[in-house]
Amino acid sequence: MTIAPVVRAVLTAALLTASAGCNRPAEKARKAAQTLRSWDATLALLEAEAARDAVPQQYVGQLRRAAGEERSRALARLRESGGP
Amino acid sequence: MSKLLEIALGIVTGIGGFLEAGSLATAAQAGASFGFQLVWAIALGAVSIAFLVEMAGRLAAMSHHTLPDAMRERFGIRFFLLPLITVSLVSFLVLASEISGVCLALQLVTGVPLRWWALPVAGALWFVLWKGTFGMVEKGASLLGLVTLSFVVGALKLDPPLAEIGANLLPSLPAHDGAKYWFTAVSIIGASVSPYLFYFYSAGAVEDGWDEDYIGINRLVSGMGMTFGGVIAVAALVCAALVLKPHGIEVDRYEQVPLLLTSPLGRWGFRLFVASLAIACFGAALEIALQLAYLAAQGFGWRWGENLRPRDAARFALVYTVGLPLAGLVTVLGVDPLKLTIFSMALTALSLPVTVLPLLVLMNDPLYLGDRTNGWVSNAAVLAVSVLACLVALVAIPLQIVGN
Repeated sequence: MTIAPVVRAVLTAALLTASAGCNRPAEKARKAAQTLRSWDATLALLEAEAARDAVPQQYVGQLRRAAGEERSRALARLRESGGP
Repeated sequence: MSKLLEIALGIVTGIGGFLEAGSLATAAQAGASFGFQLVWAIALGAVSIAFLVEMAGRLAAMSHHTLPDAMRERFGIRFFLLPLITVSLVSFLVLASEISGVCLALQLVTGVPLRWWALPVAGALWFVLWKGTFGMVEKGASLLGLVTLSFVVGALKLDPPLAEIGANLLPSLPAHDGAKYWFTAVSIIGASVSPYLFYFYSAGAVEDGWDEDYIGINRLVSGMGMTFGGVIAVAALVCAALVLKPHGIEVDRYEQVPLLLTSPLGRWGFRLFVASLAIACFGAALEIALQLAYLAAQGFGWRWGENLRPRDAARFALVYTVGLPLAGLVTVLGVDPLKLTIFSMALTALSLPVTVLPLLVLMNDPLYLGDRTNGWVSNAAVLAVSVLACLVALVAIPLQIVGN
């Protein structure tokens, strides 16, 4: 067996799996919801760390901004995929 | 005594130089998403790079050839262009991600957006290479890089379950998010088995004038330096698994990663994280920029050497003089640093056969190695890891791109 058929088979399998498994709206909604939960938890942990003065205010502001941007993107993806 | 000192210094620089943007980001993502389950990938990567670095050092000591030099001589210039282009492309992306790592550390401290730091950082890197010597680049950055041991301190303070971590040295199948699991695994392997590490090491061995007497030192330095270095990456994964995973936090942005050390070490954890990121990425960027210059100069037969004055090796110096600002531009253009890092590492894994297989051929050629050619264990281990990582990357990268 030469290398070419093996590579072709692996590529075909990858593309088929990718197209079949990753574009479903339900899957997209699940991932977007998971991202939202992750960022909510990040903010909660950040507040706890800030409360015990473990992080500088400069950093608190930066992470809050990052969380805001990522939450907006996740919410947009959630809406696109027909989620709540 | 001087040899003992050389061994100790070599091991210490191996440890201090191990962690960089790629290994830190991939370890943090792995720990946050999959707990300790991907410890095996770090261990596999560390063992593989130890083998590869040892081979590159042995080749230099036995043949007095650097890797690109030997490749061009053994396979001819037309074949050599393939690894040259592949390694250059992958190294350029990794260089861009290291520069963005330094910029992020500066952003965390100052609040000034990272894109504003990219060109000053590229300029500072250029200045060190232009004015510095090989010893300063190799030893200086790596010794300062020992600050990354703070991840080990952080992990120990979190009271890690050592038996569970040890159990995950054996690979296991993921319970969820299979595509992400395998993508993260190949990114970890790509981060560990970065070609710049062994290309740089072979050039360094020739710069330092190694000969057959260095075979033993080489074995100790590469084996212990890389495997102990892997411990730091495991520690970063452990911190992520114990700090972020219990809260359900996944790492989507670099800005989340300082929390790994603030939880166990408080305000000092933040400071140590920023210092670790800045120093580790700065050191790695120096080595990669230098390795790009070595690769071009050794491949095309130009005069080269970091210990030479730039005007005595002008084309060699030109490569990093052009490469650094170009790599800095990637950050200026606003490319997400974490995504850039993770995809650079996955592409590195994909390119492994091109970068590793010619080395294996050389390592089995008695014309270069005399009676010190590879044994079957090192041949089989490196070949298996390279081909497997490439095949898994071939499947996981499209899955990850399509699945966002």
